[in-house]
This record gives sequence, structure tokens and C-alpha cells, in this order.
Amino acid sequence: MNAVGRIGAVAALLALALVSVVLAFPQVQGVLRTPWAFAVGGLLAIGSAAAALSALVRLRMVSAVFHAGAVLVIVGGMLTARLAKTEAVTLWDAPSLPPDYRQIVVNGEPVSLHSVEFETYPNGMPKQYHTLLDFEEGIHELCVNHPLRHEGVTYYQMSYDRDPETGIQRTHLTLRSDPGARVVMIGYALLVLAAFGLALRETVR
Amino acid sequence: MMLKTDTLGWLLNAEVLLAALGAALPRWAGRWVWSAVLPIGLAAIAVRWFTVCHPPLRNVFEAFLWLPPILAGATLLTRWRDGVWTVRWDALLGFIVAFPLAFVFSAEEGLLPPALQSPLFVPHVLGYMLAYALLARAFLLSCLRIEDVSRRSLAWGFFLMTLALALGAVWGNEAWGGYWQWDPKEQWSLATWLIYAALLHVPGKRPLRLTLLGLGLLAVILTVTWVNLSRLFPGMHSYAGL
Repeated sequence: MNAVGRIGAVAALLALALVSVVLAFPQVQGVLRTPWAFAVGGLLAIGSAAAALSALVRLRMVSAVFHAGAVLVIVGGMLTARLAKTEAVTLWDAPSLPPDYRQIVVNGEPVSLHSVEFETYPNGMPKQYHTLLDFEEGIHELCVNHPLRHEGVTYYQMSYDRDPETGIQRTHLTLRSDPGARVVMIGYALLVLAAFGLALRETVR
Repeated sequence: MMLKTDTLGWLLNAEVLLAALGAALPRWAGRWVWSAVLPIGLAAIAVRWFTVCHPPLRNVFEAFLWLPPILAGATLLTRWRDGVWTVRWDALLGFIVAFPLAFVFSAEEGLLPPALQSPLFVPHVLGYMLAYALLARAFLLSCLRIEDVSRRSLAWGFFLMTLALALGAVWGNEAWGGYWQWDPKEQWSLATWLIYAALLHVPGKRPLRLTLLGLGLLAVILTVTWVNLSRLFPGMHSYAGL
């Protein structure tokens, strides 16, 4: 990379670092939903892709893989922003309630709450909570850090509580489909691989 | 400031003393004293792990527990690999992290909430701790013009930071359905990563390289202390009140 390229890369990365710090404040995060954010993301992806190609031509494989990973992370993020769908759902653990409280329809299929199960520590603090859902083909379980993936939708256990008026237990789930997530994960894997290659190169030098 | 007088407390007090002596004594004595921090630090981790029944990485106190033995281990590794003793400076860093452990941070025990019960919990947090220790070391060694070791420290620190960043994204995706929550700690960690990524584009031009190493270390310190502990930055990584 020539001196101009290096200076540009350093300046861009430091500017991005500053932007990242500013975006730590929720009050400014609305800018992420504007076309400007997409434009900047697009420019970054193009710049990283150009760097990856340039590195590939010069057979600098660590650099090529690193910048390819960056491209995938950026593109995956943009796909998530445009195409991901999220729905927060609360299901009530009481058979006496109308179906609307215990059931949702996902992709035309009814999904009902079978039960909510809790594990606690001896002092009563929640250790884990599991939600069992009834699908047409059977019962499936999910809990925190162990989501349920079913026909393109992922079910996440977010929390649980009791309704303050009736005392009925409720489980709070998030349903999400995100075509960008896989792209981002592949991008991260390439970044890690490249960073490992860089460290190995420094060690054997 | 408080003096901890249980078993873990005395181990931490010993770490502080040994780190101080390691930094102050002549090298022929300091290396033995500082090297002792490795087994003592590992013992402190083991005691805490046994007491709380989970890997001790739940809060800032437990995360910092790993830093002194990591630094002592790095000293010994550098001696073995490069034939260079970096005792005084590693011990100085060790003292800086061991002091708040022994006298400032609360050692209150806590149980792991459901969100932290993931196989990614340990590699994510430990990866960051290892990375931060190595990156701090990279700056210090570059100041001392021990450039080869500094570059290796930087490279492995950057790899570990990248790995920890990626594992955090995977964990977030598994736990919450989002690999990036725009959480303040995530944003500052990303900023830190970007600073070091910028550094990788700088060929050995020492003033700029040293400046970026220092800037990166500042970002690490701010991320670990101010962002983690300040009520200005609420979020899932906030340890304010812990």
C-alpha cells in the first residue's frame, strides 16, 4: 500500500473510532436509520473491498482475508438493518385465559405456550427459565442463551415475570429473522482468521 | 479503600507487595519476586472460583483477578522466547492492576444470572482481559524501545481482541437475537479495536506508532473503567453499582 493509501486508511479508521464513541450515546443513534448511514456503510464496504482486491493481487493474503471479512461484516450489518424482522411476544401461563394470551401465529402456524419452568438458586435468585412451546409437530424448548430455531424464525427467551394484578406467570420472548446475521458471522470468522495469521507471522518472523 | 483480610484478600495483598517489590528491586531479585505473582495469582483465581462456584469473570473485580498472573506469565514467556527480562515494567503494570483489586474494588460475591450462563462467557471476557494486558504491555515495551517484543505483544493482543469481539457478537446473537446492541461498552470496544486496526496500517514510523499505541491504551483504560463503571453509560455491560 502506498503512503497516501496508508494515511487514508489510518484517518478513516480513527474517524470511525470517534464515530463509534459518539454512537455510544442513545440520543444520537437515530442517525443509524437514515439513508446517510447506509451511504457511509456502502462507501466503507467499497473501500474495504478495494483494499481486499488490492491485497489479493499482491498476494498479501492476511490483508486480503482481513478486508474481505470487514466487507462481509459491513454488508451483513446493512442487510440486518434493512431486512431483519423482530417481534416481542408475551405469553401467559394460564390455561383459563383466552387463546390470544397463550398463542401466537407464526408463518401461518399456531404456536402455543405449553409451560414455563424455572430453576432457582438456594437464595431464590433465578438460575434459568425455560419456555416450552407447542408446535404442530411437537413441543420444543428454549431458554436464555439457547434459542429455538424453527422454520426460519428464531425464538429467544428474554425474561419472565408475574402480572402484578393477577399473579399469572408470563414469559417474554423475541421472535427474529435476520438474513444478515450469517453474513456478519462469516465476516467475523475471516477477521479472526486474519488476525491470527498476523500474530503468527509476527511470532515466526 | 478497604483491607481485605480473608484468604483471597491476603493473596491479593501479597500480589500488590510482590508487584511493588518486583518493580523496585534490582533485576536479579525482582524477577524472582515478580515471578511469584504467577502462582499466587492463579491461587487467587482458584480460591475465588471455589467460593463462587463459577468462573470468576462476573464483574470488574473478578475480571481484574486474571490480570496480574497474565502479566507475570507474559514476563516469563518473553524471557523464554526472546531472552529478555521485562520484569520492572510488567511488575509496574501488575501493581497498577493489583492495587485496586486489593484495596478498591468490592469483592462481594454473586451468582451468575441466566444471561451469563453461556459457554461463550469465559472465552469472551477472558479474551478481552488477555488482550488488554498484552496491548498495555505493547505500549510500555515500545516506550522502552523493545520493539520486537512490543510488536508481538500487539499482534497477539489484537488477535485476542478480535476474537473476543467476535465471540461477543456470537453470544449476543444467541442470547438476545442481536449480534450488536449499540451498547456503550460495545461502542467503546469497537473504537479501541479500530484504533489498533489503524495502528496496523502504520509501518514502523515510531512517533506515530507510539502515539497510536498510547491512544489505544487510553481507550482500553476508559472502556474498562469509565464506561464500565459510570452511570453515564447504562447498558447490559454496565457494572455501575456492582
